[in-house]
Amino acid sequence: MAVLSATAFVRGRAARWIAAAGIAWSALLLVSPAIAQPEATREYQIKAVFLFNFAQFVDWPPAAFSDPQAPLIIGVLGDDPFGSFLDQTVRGEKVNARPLVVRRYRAVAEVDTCHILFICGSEAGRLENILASLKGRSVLTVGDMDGFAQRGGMIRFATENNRIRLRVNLAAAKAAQLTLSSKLLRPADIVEPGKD
Amino acid sequence: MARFKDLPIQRKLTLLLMLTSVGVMVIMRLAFFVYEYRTFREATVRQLSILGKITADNSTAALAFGNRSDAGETLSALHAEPNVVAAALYDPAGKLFAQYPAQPAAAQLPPAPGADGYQFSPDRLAGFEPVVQAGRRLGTLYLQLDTGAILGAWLRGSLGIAILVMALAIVLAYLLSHWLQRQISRPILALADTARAVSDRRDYSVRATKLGHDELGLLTDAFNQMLTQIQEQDLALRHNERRFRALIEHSSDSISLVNSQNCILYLSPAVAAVEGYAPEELVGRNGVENTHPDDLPLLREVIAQLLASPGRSIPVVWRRRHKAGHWVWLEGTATNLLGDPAVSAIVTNYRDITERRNSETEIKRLNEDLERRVVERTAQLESANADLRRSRAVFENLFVSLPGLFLVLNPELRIVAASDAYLKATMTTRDGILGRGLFEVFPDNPDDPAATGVSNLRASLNRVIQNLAPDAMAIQKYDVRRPDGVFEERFWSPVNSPVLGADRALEYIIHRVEDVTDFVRRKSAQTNGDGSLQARLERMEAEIFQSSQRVQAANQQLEAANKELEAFSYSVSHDLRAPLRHVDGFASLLTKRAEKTLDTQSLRYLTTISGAAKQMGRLIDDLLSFSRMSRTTLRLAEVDQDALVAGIVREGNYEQSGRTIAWEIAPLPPVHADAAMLRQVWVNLIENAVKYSGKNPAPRIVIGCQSANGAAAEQVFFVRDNGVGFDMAYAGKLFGVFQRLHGPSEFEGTGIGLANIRRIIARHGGRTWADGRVGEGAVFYFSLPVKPPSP
Repeated sequence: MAVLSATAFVRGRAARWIAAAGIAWSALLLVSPAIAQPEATREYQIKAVFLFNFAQFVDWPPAAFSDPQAPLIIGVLGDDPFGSFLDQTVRGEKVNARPLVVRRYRAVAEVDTCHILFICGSEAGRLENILASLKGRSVLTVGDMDGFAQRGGMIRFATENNRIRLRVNLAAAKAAQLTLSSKLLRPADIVEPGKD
Repeated sequence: MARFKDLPIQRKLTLLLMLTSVGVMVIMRLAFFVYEYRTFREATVRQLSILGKITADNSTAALAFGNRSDAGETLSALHAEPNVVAAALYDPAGKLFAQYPAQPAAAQLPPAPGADGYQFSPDRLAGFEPVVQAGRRLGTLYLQLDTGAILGAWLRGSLGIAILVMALAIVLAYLLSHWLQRQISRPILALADTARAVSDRRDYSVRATKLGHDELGLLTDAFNQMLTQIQEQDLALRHNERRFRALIEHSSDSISLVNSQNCILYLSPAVAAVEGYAPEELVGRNGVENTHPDDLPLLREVIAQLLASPGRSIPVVWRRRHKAGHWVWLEGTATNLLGDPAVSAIVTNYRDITERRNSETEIKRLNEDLERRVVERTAQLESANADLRRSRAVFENLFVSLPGLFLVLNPELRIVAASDAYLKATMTTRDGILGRGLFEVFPDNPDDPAATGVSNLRASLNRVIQNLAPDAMAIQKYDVRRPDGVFEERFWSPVNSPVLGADRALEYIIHRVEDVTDFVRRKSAQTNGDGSLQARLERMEAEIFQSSQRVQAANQQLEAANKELEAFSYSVSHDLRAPLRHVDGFASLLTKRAEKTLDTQSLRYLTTISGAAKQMGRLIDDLLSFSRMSRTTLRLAEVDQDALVAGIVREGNYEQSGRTIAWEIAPLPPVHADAAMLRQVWVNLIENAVKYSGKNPAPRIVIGCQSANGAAAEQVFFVRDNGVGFDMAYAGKLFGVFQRLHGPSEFEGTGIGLANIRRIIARHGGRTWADGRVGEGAVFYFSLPVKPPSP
């Protein structure tokens, strides 16, 4: 009986998940041409989902959160290429019982409590400063500018053959006391700092 | 099942045990197989599910970050499990994301993911596994397993083991059942063997061996007990059969068994003696053959009756031809025992009665002769009887008409006949007295206390009976009762005469009487009759009667006076003793007191007084005992006189004074007497002899017995001494009281001893007497009757 009800439970949850994911995916595929917002390209729609997915494959040290229910904050530094898509992606989602919150920063100084920080291409010139100011803080830095990982960023979205690939700077992540799931590392390319 | 029933019990039991154990084993194995199959399926699902979960887990990042090649690699790792024939990943939208193998047949993959979970289809297990990362569903994994191969392998292994185990178990079960069934079958087989031995050989002496104390043990015991009973019954039956066979074979009667068609089935050996044939010659032939033609219808009738009534016995007498040719008379009883399964024949037992029949004929002839003679003789007797009756009537008539008074009595004193004159004189009738007792008819007058008629008549009749001689009685007063019951005074002169038979035995007593009443009355009235002879005779008879009456009265007075005298003398002697004791007592007191003062002369006087008083005392004692002698009753018993006399001589101590007495004591016969009194007789006689022979220097006393002859009525005893003797002139005085032939100075004595002896012996019905001569001793005799006197 226990097995049976567990199966039923799994099936129930799975059905809900498929429904929710299906809606999100359709929105991702169908909404963008209709809205025709210039910043919300298909590429960034995928990257927004990836950002959200990182929350599932990365473990933060306990000190990164004020309490177990404290929200996981995804920050966007610089000119936001996601439009409202990122907000739509994380709305209502929870990762490990934590709600997801999107914050936008104009400057690195504004970044207070943040767990995933997407550093936009607009900030390419100030990348070293930004990374330096974030040093010692457990913030997963993600970006899509060239050489982002070699320059000290942790995960870079690289587009190859019309596909988005991940390049990971493990040393940087380690220095920030972040644990990246080995699963995340399987589809990703490991980058050593200074190369790329 | 019919076949199972006929199987031997050993096979049956083995089969039973085998079937049971194999059946249980198969059911168990089946149940276990079902369980194993289920377990196997569940294990397969679990294994596939685990494989699916691992693969799904490894596919999360590939799905999350859209890396198809990475997903393809993950799926291709499934080739390690060759039974997984297909796998696929679907993105959250349900679109195929990656697949394994790289180019599967399109039909093998579902176009879109179905519900989570695994489903069995024939030789396939397929299912969907969600791909979840951190609580979020990233897609779906599809896995398909080829179960046919696994199941086949599993089945081969499982069934192989099952068959091996079953085969081993069956072998074990067979061995066990073979061993176990022996525990039950052995005693049963032993019992069966015994039973077979009993029924095959009819040997009831065999016994089954008891192998345990269970129900089979009980059965064995019961069986053995039954055998014992059967053995006993069999023995009894054999004995019975032998006995009956012996009875039949040795019976002098011939016994035949014939069936309902008269065919002879059996003949006992006795038939040879009866009919001359050996039994084998006749068995099988018709039983009616050889029958005398005259008896055939009778025999046929008997057979018909027998056949008609089973169990019936019919006696039959018929003739058959003996082997020698003559006819034999047969008598027998035929019984229809056709209905008795043990016999199934008509049984006839018969014997040869030819001889009996011949003698019967002879007896019949003799009987007829006898009868004829009896008739003749009876006629003669009848005519003689008639003569007798006639003469008897004449005599009877004569008797009753006799002028005298006659009564005829039988020895029991019952009245047999009476003359008419007697009846008239006694105012009785013949019918009233015949057959009755004499004294019943003629009792004493109850109003006359002095009546002696009955006692006198009875005494006279007793004398007649005893002496068988006529007895004439004196004139008797014997009153008779009138028919009205009043007694009338009558005087009779009776004579009783015996009538003896040919053997000199008393047959009748004739009682003849004369009525002398008138005569006695006349005499009493002092009327002097005429001087005729008849008158004088009558007068004299009357006088005799009256004087006899007077003598009787005087006798009675004398007896009374004698009794008074005795009483008087007893009391006088008793009263005399008291003053006498005083005289003696005071004389001795005086002697003691005045012995010193009195002179010799006075003392001698006193001694004389004392001696005289003592002598008088002895006299009185003797007198008292003498008078007592007549009063005390006799206690008669058998007395051993030898012991009595020997005791007296021994205790008397008569030789104390240095004398030697020559005793001569002959054996004495025992007598019937009063022992104490007889002792006194002997003591007195012996003391007398000792005393009166005292002066003889060689005293000799002889004691003996002399019987007149063997059949004497009395025995005579005597004591003889050689003492002083006596003058026979005084012999008559010897036994009188106070009669002494010698003075007290010569011999002591009171003079009562011999008187006492006479009295004692007289009371015993004996006599006493003496014989003697002066100076030549004396003999004292006494006799005792052989028959003891009536007390």
